[in-house]
Amino acid sequence: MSRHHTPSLEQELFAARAEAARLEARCEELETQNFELASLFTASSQLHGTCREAVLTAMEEIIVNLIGSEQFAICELDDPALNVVSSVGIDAQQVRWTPRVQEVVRRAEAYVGSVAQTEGTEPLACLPLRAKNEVIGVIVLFGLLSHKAEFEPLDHQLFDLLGTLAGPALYCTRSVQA
Amino acid sequence: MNRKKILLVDDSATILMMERTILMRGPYDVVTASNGEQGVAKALSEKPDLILMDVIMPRMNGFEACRRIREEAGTRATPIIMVTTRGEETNVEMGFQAGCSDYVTKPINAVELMTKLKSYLGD
Repeated sequence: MSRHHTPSLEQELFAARAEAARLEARCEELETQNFELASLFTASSQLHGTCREAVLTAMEEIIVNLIGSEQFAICELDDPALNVVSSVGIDAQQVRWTPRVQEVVRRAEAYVGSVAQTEGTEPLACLPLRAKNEVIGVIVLFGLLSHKAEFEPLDHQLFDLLGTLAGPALYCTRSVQA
Repeated sequence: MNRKKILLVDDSATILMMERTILMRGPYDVVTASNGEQGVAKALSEKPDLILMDVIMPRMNGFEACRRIREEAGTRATPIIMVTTRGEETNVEMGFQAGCSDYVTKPINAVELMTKLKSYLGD
């Protein structure tokens, strides 16, 4: 005759608690994902417009309210220099056509530094704005809000979104203006 | 389900949209205002169950709007959560002195916000 080992009540309770903890963690993970999607949805919805002022305002609001920076400039490429079209919390003179910015433009890839390792007037991040397969400008960030220690994974997604949606939006406003 | 009314006061269309998107998942009806002056008027006319109040706004800032809302008997006890880019202690203290009940910093953390809403409004 074989014996079947039946779990004790204590073992079942332990298993149930472990499962509850696992589901709670999964629930939190899903909440975070939902929140990230909400941020991306909001950002992408705001970047549709033909009015230059509206596009620049949307970009500023995304950077301030969703990324968390009040020290940045939005620039259009005026080869071989930059034309600052909007700045918040900084002197436009602070934006320079440095090797780092040139590299970002050349490679069409964002530079994202660390708050702890960025000094003086060096940019904390430089993001290319792309349209029609070329870089038409950059966003240069010089700092984060005081209560935000570093960039987070969602910020990198917002950077990509700005690069791919804000670039064409800004480019289109030139066509409307012309 | 007992739905609650929340008044969103912010001059940023992005933040209003973000807050709406977060709140639409809960039992909340949303009304909005785009400056402090409008916020006071809507608070008095709509009698929301809770107010999310930006601080830096044209025409009237969030601190002043909060003071005005607290002056009225009908809205004196309405929870007001300050939404601010400035999480420094002095700024937060100014908010509490103006009559705010609580605060969240931008960028808004949806989980933190929903937790605070539940604490003031119930599940």
